[in-house]
Amino acid sequence: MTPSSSVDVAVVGGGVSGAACAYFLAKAGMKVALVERGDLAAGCSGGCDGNIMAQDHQPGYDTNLTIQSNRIYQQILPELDWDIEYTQKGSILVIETPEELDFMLDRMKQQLACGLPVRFVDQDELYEQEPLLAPGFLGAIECASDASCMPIQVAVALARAARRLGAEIRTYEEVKSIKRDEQGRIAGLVTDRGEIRTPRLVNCCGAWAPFLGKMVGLDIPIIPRRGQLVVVEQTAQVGHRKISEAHYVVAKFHPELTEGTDSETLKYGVAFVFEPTASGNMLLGSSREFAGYDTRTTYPVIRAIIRRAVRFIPALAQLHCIRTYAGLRPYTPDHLPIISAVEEVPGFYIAAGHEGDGIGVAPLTGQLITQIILGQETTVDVTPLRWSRFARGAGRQAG
Amino acid sequence: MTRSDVTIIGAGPAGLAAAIEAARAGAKVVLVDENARPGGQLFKQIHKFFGSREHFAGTRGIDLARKLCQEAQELGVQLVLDTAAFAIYDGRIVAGTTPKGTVQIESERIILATGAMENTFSFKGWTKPGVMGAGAAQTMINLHRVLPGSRILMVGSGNVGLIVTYQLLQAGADVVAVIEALPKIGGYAVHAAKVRRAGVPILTSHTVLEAKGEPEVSSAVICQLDDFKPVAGTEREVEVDTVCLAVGLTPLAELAWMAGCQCEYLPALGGFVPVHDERMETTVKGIFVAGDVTGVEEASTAIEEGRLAGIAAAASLGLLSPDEAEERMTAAWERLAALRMGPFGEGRQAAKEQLMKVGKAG
Amino acid sequence: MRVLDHPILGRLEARRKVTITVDGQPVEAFEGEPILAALLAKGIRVNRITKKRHEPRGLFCGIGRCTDCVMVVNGVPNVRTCVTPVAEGMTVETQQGLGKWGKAK
Repeated sequence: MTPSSSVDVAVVGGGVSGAACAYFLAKAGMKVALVERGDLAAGCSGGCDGNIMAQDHQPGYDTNLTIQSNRIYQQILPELDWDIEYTQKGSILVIETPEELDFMLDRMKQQLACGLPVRFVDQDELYEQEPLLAPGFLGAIECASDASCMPIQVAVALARAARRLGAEIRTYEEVKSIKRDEQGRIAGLVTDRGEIRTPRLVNCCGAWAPFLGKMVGLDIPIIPRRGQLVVVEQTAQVGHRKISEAHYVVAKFHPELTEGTDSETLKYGVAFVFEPTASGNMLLGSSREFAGYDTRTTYPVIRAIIRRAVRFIPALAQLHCIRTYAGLRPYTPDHLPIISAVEEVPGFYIAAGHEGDGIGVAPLTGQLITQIILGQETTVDVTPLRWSRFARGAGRQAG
Repeated sequence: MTRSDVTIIGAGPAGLAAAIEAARAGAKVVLVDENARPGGQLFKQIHKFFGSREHFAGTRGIDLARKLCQEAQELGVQLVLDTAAFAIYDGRIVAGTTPKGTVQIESERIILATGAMENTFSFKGWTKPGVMGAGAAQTMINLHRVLPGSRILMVGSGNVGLIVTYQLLQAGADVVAVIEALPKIGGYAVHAAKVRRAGVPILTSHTVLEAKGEPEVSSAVICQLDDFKPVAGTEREVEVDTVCLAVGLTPLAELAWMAGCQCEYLPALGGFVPVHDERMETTVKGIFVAGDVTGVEEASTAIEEGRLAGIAAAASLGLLSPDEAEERMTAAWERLAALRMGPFGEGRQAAKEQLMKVGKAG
Repeated sequence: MRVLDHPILGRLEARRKVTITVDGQPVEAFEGEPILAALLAKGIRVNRITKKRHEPRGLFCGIGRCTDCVMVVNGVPNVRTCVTPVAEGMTVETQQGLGKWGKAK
């Protein structure tokens, strides 16, 4: 039994978002308790890849979130005493058809306008950079600022840094109920190991955020979306940086251009994503399915991912897949996270619903929550991230 | 996708015996193995088995493998070789990888007979070329007919250490000593006597401290132990080019874990093993186990467990009447009990009973 | 060294010979035997050098599980030589670190 304690703010959820919130809140001088029912990064952050990627986002506000967050990653790196395997090798989206090429070049202009360092890599340069790529691609869009990290280590590193700043890191402690005062304000939380008195609570529970929301009568429209990944053995890498298919971006915005894609790929939302990791392994993705909270991998999806990957990098067929895993992406209907105070429950804050961007946007998330709680000016305009867009049934249409 | 009544993973003694029994009962059986031919480790076992007479006493593993393979073939067992099973999906689809791509086998029942792998232990220089599993050396000499080295130090005096020592001598190598950390020899006296008669000393209460040499092993430092602690001043360097490690086996229970079978840690059986009942069925309905995967023993016990699993799987599909199944299984249990008698079998018998008790409680 | 005569297994039967190239040198092997066996027959025991500490590694498990004996075979890195059969004209190279992709044959 942990003795009951009293803090300025309780952060619930020990993934990258929770750890980042705990870190920035502690850094701002607040007394923080991070409460996690399992181990750090045991939820969404433990079942994903390590993308800090801006170029696959809709040019504009979305893109800017990652740009800002990537900057914060670089600022906080010297303050971490734990290697998060941050590398900034950039990423490329390879282009297959003339239609895709037109679309991507047009999109590139919009990306440049919002400050993303993108450029077109022509066929010759592409094959010089990535000689094991299957023949026939027309070129690629490169984004030099895109980076990678190891999500589990990010959560650990931020939690360690938060602890050094005085935060209490309470793992294997599950929140059972939330206490409120007569005015309905947050007063504390009851866990399976004791009580924590606090006037503020940040819900960083990712795909599980709705469960904490229910405790105060909120209906948070976050749905778990399963993504499956394949780990390839350590060897001389068949690609030198993050490589994805432009087709995936095109399909997202222009489904009519996806004609001819095999049905399995479409059915499971499979898109080719390749990521070399610091250890010399390679990650292959990706997929998107709504399967509840089931984090098992399935044969048809894994097969579709591998087939898609081999189509882009045939040399992969010579290598061994050593592991597969799946994780949950906390999906929201408008694909933007909720980083916001909840007006109807004073003291209750939400930092969840990042879908596939939780890792990339984690530092910004921590910074924004801290700014919101302290009433400071925010790094980016938080209007699109407000809880009120979903409150009382607003904007519930699935996207 | 291939379909079958019973899919068995692992074509060693347990898997072959399971296949034979299930096929004999009329089941359509698929037997999957990652190697190019069935038989598992039996093909390395060129020594004669002994023990209970009905248990192939006097038969060499290699001959037994041929006999089992032939029987399985005659009963129409479909062999899927060069195929490493890497997953079980939904408790009924076995996925495997082959040099040509992946395969799926959908099956009513699955029997895991994946065996065990050698343990290792670390000491200074243990990663150098020349330090290897005793089983690796055995594979090289008996299967591939090449010597992995010419002067050998054997670490571990269990049956594997003793038998492989003798087989290294038969293959023309020089074994300078067998060392054993325990104060007494681990394996059967018969095997130890054979090794000693060949002039190889067996040094109990001894361990290896270091493998020396660049880039490969050219000597090893051994020393005496007192209560498992090195005795200062007893170190000596022996000139060897190979150090073989025969320090036990660990069940290959990964597929069982992945399929969601409850596993228990039982040191007497080699580590984590899937819990099963008297019919060799795990806690996941329709998935059975047999042989070393559910506790490291011997080929003879693996065969009996394989028979049990094969019979039980066939019976659960209605291919055998309950009476028939009961009769065949009782006979197999009696043979198993006989095999597990004596000082070497007792501990395993007790551990096996514990494993099945867990299964019932669960 | 090959085990030519064996008290139980008898004399090593004659098999078709093939020639492979090991680090640029021709090596005679029996068709179908594992690459590793052909190397051991010639006394070659170092298969790779590790990435971080640059240490040599060789045969350890002999059944394709430990991946210590991997080499670059026909331009493909990480090939487990203990379970990969030799074939006429095969090129085999000591793997440095995680290896290098070469021109496939």
